Amino acid sequence: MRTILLSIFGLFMVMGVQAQSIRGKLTDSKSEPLIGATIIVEGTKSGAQSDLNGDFVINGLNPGKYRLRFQYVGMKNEFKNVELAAGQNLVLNLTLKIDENQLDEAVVVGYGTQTKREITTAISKIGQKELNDLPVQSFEQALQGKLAGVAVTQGSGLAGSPSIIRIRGISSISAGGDPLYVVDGIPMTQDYSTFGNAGGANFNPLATINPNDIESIEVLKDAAATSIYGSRGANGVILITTKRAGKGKTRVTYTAQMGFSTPSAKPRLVGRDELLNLMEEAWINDGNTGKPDFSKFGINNMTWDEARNHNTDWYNELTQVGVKNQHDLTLSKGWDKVSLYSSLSYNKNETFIRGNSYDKVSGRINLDYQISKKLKMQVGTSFTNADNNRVYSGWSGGYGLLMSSALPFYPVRNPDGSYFLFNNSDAGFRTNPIMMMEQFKWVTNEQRTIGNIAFDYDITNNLKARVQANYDYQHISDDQFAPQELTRATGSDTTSIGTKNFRYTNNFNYLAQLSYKYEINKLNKLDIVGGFERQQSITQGFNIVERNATGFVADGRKTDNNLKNYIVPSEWKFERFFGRINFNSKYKYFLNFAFSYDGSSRFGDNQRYGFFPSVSGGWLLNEERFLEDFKKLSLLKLRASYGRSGNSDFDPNARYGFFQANSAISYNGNPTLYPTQLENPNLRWETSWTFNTGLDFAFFNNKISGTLDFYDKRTTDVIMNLNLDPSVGFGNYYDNVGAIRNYGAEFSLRANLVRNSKFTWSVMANIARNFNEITSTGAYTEEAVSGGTNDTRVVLGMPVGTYYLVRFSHVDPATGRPVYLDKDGNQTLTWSANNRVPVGSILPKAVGGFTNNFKYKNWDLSLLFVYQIGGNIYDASAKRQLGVMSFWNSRPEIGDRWREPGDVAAFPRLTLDASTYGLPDYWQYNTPMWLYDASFLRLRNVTVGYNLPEKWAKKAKMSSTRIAIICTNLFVFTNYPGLDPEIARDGEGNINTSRNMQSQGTYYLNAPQERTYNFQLTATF
Amino acid sequence: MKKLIHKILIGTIGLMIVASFSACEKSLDVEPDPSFGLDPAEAIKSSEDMQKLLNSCYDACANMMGGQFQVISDLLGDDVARPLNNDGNTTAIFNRSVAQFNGTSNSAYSQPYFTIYRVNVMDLYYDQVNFLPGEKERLQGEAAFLRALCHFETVKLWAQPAGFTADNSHLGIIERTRAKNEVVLRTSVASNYALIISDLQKAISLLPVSNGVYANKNAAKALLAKVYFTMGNYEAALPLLNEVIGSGYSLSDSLNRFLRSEVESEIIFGFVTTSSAYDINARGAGFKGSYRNDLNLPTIALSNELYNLLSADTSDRRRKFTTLINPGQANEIKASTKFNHNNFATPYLTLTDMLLMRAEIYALQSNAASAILDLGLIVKRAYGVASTRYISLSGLSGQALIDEVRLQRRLEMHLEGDRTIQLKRIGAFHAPSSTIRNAPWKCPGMVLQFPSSAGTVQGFIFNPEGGCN
Repeated sequence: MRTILLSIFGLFMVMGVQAQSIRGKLTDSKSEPLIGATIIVEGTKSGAQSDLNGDFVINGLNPGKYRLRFQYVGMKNEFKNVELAAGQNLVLNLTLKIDENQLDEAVVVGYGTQTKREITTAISKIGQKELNDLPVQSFEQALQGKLAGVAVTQGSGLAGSPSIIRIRGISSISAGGDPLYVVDGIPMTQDYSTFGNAGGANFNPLATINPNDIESIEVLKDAAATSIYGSRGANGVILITTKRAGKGKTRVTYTAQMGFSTPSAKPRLVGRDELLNLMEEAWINDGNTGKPDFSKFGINNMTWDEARNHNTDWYNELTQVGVKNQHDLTLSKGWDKVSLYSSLSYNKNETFIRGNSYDKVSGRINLDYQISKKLKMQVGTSFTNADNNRVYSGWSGGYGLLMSSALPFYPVRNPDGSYFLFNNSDAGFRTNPIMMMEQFKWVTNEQRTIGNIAFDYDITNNLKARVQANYDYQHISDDQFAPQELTRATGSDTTSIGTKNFRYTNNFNYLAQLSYKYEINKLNKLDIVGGFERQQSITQGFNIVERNATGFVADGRKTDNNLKNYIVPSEWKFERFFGRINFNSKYKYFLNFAFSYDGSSRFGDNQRYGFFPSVSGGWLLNEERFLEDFKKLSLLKLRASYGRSGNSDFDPNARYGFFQANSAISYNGNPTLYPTQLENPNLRWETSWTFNTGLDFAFFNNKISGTLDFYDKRTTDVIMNLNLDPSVGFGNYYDNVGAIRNYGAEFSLRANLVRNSKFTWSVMANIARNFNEITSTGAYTEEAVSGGTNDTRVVLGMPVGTYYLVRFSHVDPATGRPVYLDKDGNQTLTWSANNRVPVGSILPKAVGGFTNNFKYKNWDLSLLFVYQIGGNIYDASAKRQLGVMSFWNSRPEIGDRWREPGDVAAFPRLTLDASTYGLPDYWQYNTPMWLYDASFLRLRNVTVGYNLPEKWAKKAKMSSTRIAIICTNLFVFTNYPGLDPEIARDGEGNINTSRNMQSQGTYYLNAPQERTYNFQLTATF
Repeated sequence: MKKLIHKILIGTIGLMIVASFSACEKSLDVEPDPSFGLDPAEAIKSSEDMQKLLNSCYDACANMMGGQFQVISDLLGDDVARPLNNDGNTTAIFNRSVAQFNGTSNSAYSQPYFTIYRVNVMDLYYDQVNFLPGEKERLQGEAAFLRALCHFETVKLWAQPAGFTADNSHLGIIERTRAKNEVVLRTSVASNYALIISDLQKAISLLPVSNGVYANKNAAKALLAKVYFTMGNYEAALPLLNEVIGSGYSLSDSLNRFLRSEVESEIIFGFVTTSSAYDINARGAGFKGSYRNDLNLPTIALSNELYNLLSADTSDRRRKFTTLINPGQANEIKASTKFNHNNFATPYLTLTDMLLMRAEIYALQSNAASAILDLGLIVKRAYGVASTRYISLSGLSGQALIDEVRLQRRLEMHLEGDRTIQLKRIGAFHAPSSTIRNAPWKCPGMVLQFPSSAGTVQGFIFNPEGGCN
């Protein structure tokens, strides 16, 4: 029997050999064989795969006509129509072309890379070219307008001003709303509140990273992408990969950039005579006679008669044309086993505010060493030394006083040369800003190094191990010196004062991971990654105050323990297991499971670990036969994901209860012991479940491509710093009580409109629409969570950062008094906080940007527009500039005011008395009168570049040379009458809460952004 | 070399894998820096620690009763004039228009609950600490006394008085009896007083007869008597007053009620002070900040009515507590000198107070002889034994006697936060149509509004506002 079967089988084999076949060889453009390419005979079940030499054979075909499809990862599909005669052995040798839709471009996904083809989640990538196409103080500024769903609100024009980045809206209130930044594997220290909001500015922890060292930035947006970062991924994750050298000859690049800084807008204020007229009108309106008494305005250092002796242009006194100067030198070189990337950067960055600059020197070395065939080592380290030469701004004085109490009739100096002291009744507005700028010395020095070492070991061809250790060290020294003349003038002290505030953070992590590639068969593969990671961060420091100082506190005094006042250290730990399984079927069906099992010292005793799973899938529709006839379709990929991620960016000590033993606070001379903080053993991460579905598409041979995503992110256990019912016995308490929903859509489009040998024109555009709603405050009412200063707060059913104000109805034509509306809409002359209602939101309806790139021969032009649609700005300065007359200057809009009975006016009668406006005091004039539409369209960047002809460059022994003129913030279209519709105000109090609830839209005396003009030269050797 | 590196690497991987499996909850423990404070589990381990915790209760109470509550109470009444500094918060209290955002009343509201929370924390540790004989009972008694004091002072200002409704079913304040962050809503005034009485009865049973400057058995009885008196339950108050008055206290000749060393003999319970910088700054800060006028101008002046009452009779020794600043000028200020001290202690329960309560009860019970006996001690001290005022007391009876008792109470305890409370009691139990500075005694604004933060829990009911002007 066995013999018969073998004979029959052998007969079939012989018949097969004698029948017709198709055979051939597949190569790439470099004639290298393509191994494992798929050849499909359409309409049949026949096919083959190429072997190690790229050869293939298809047997078993009957004579006839066929259409063959040749597929290979990263290559364009090729089709061939053939006619096979009986007994024919047809030979087809083909060269496949690279697929320009870059489906096999590597994308960093956290603990590994995937190809774009394999990506099943919402990830946006920006390369170093787009990152460095405009001059920025800090790399995150360069992301603005380029990635859908990544809303970047630029900081002010103040040196070192941090931006606010929100990915897909805001889902936190008292916890940090910023994404997690991971540099080459280490979640970096990112504390904006290092020195609170001293000087009217928060700290920017990202500014020390040199944008020129960044190879790519990947932004992980949905939970399936971020779940591998577990309890820290809910606000999105920004993965920063620094440059490494490839193999090849030495490459040296030098970039020089020089430019100027001016303000993007100038404050609009009334002049001296008009201001005096306004003051006199208020004086008379209040029933006074004779010359106005300046003391009633809070002006205590000048009489009415003296006021016309001076006319100071404080704007000119306080501003300058800032000079910018940056030089970058990079060297990369690859040998057989070693490759090296190194860079050195110098950046002197003056702003338009006198005395204000950010100076930075940084360097990086990234080394790769193939120790053996199986073992590879990667080492990387960077060092930055940055001096922020600081000035007061915003609410704290300096540029802020320019728009408030630096009145035009105040001189800068007295006739004897001494500074004129304002001596206004409010201590916050008493200091002559020129005196402050010239006498107060303030430098914040930051030294930072971020380093890592990693070993990759190929245990087998498919099983690889990696161990990596990372270290992020941040050392900040904040030095201030106020001479005696200044301390006396401000009333802060009687002697000169030197202070040194010193902070250092040691942040280190290590991880061990295994990755395994398992080929189930030729068309079905598994990629598995799993590992363990541990991270620890400790922040320590001290403050020194030296009276009778002659300058900054000397470094030597840092060792004098008697002078040191140590800050309370802050320490936290994370540890976690993570894993990911990718299933790839036929290179067109993809399934991804990922998880993280996180534990942290920040979490309460009852909540030490959390599990964050996700699942996602992708389907390359354009590779299906039913879409074969859509020839104009280059790519169509459908994605969907669902997963859980968390946010644990909150005070690491918030969970603890504390008692204080205090001998200074005594009763009858006996010591006391009392609770100071309420314990919350249940405090834990915020949890976000996110559903995402997306479509990646390309048409017309990839001339037009884009991505469309819809998402629904539901966050629960939102951490709130609650104002407790006072009867509890404590003022505040962190608890997981709220719920927030963000849902929306993102769309990005890239089009190569013209492409020929001389001229190209490409357009990139994106828009993101996000809906935000606070859906629960748990057992607490809205009152439990305050927002800003009487202007924003939590309102159920409304977005985070809802403006909550007493509505203004009109100016009573008979009396000139403002008429407000109570909660029920009835008119009232009395402003009462009880009548506040939601009237607007800091959050825009949509944000985005679009870029036009033109190239003609060696010339190129790039225009980047960024825009915001909707949202509101609350101008908290206006309530003083257009409110009760005092020692503040006024704005020209005040011309539309009530003057006599019958007047229909925008602003009420002028007065010195807050009660005329029905106010408890002039600070409470919080009404929608100062609420504006925040929509804008800004020309963020214009670059005109010229690449020197290759022959010229070669003559100079350079491989390429480029010169460019780069201008930023040339103009902005907006209905907002203030300085700058883009506001990232320094946060105050709980800075997280401020940044989430208020900072993006509530303006108060901030400086506008810079307008810069730069010349750039880039030479590559 | 390569082999060595391989070995090191494999060893490292191995170690990290071991480390990962050894990861446990303990490895995530971070001990907060000691400067943050003590771990609650470690903070209280002995009776000494419990005593320190109790000391902090006294301290918090002393701060609260260092003028903060008394000034607010008097601002609602008729003993003071409109605040001189136009401060929005105190002026709103004076106008009986306190809203949820009044910083002065909001700050005051949180004060008693500091003490109440700490007292409730003590409950968690009684079974975990070793005590000397009788020590535990003393601590429990003092704690109960202070909790009752704090609830009592709060209900007087943030709720309509007892008697506002026949069964006191109207809304009172939040009662806190557990050291826990839990949702507790306002209960009725009847419930509030039941808790206060229960705490005081517990204190009476546990406190020693003598306890230095701290609360003792008589202090608890005196406070309970005052509670009953405020509730209009004179029958219950009288035997307690008899017990306390008969316990050996004597009126001091000095009228400087805030200088404890001069009035020690009549102090049943009062807050103490030392010469420490903390005490000089903290004790009596509310009084000093409002009324003191020997260093700066006061922010609150006497009402014309009180000034005239205090200064009208030249034989009245209490006249010394009045002074005129800028006399005869447009900016004349009628000020009180009662608080012109650096360092003083607030009397809380005194023999003067007890005698005047008993005198009023006797007068209301038409027991004129007994009433005059008690009242006579006060009048004799103020005006002198030969004064017309003292001599004419014997001719008083009925409403005239009641009025005289109440007048003397007003003069003796002026600016101590008592006057408004008495006027409300009188309105609730004796003169339903009476007014307080031209406003009905029960108009909504006579009761302070709760802070907006009190409304942080669902279901909290705020007081009605206004209606007094």
